[in-house]
Amino acid sequence: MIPVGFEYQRVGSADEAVAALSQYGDDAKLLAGGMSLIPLMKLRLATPSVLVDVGPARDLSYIRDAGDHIAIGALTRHHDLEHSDLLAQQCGVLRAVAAEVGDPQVRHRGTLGGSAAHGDPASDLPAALLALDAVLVARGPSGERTIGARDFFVGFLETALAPDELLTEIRVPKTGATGFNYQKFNRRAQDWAIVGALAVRNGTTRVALVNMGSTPVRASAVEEALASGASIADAAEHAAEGREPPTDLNATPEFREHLARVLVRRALEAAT
Amino acid sequence: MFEEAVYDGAGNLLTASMLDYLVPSAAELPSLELGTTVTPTPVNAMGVKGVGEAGTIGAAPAVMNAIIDALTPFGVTALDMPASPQRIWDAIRGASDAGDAGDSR
Repeated sequence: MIPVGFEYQRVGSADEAVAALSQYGDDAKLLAGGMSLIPLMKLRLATPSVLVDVGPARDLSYIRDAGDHIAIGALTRHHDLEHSDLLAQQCGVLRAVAAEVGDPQVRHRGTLGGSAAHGDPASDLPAALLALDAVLVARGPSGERTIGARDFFVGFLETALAPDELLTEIRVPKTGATGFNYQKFNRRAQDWAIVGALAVRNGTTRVALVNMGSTPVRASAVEEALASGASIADAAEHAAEGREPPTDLNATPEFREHLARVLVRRALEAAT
Repeated sequence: MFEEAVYDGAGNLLTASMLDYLVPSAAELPSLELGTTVTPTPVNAMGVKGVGEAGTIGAAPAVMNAIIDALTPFGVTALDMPASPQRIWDAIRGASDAGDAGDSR
């Protein structure tokens, strides 16, 4: 439960963070809220030799109306998403999903950028970003680039971010105050989802799944079935198609597939 | 319904952390109705006796019996503790599979 030794460096801005990452390369890890990285370090599953703490870079904490989308700073905490009136009106689904993460202590520390960059398929917010087709902004030594959510989550705890890149902003569309539902199945309120299903109905219907593979995933077969006129009950039967859900103490892959079908149906029925 | 000491084949405890050994929190508890019963012992002057956990012993079988009762329509007659979602799903499927096999004989 004690991490291996590491150097610790605080940085006050995004540019300082990029400079530090360029200096230390693969040996460095960015620390934001520490809700995922610190437990991994305590289990010695992550052993960075340098920890670059971007916590003081408060210029990366904001929720702004940017015209055709909402721009959110990467260091915005879940608590701030949960209590944002702007988000409640313009992208209520992200506010609601943020309110489902962990417990109040976790939501006061954890950040949207940290959750996205960690890329845990069992986390709630990466699946929400995928369902929203969010755009993620990364800053590196050669400037900024944007990455679509579908291209961002590439493997288990692996994203499209390069080792010397910092996630600075997340852009989500204005999907309105309603028209979504998130079904999170777990045994205790503060735990990760054993399986989660998020439906967003905004013209088209988009469905994302939590903990049904090595990355957050879209239930593409469900979306296609709905688009071609299938009923909710029939479309939801496709929820586990092509998925390879994990096995752990809570559930077998077969049980997760069953949960996905049930939860997708419930989410679609309730997403109004 | 929650806590379980799970070991792997080599004898390692797999539920050794508070993350895996599911202690229920306030959010998982039902609302409780408290009652008291007064039965003084006649063998000492104050009528007092030790109780220990005697009052809690009945809770676990009561919960398990309620769950098994709810699963009766599926043909489930027994269930090991803890009654996890996976275990209940397996019991329902196992019972209906056994029922189908019985019908075909």
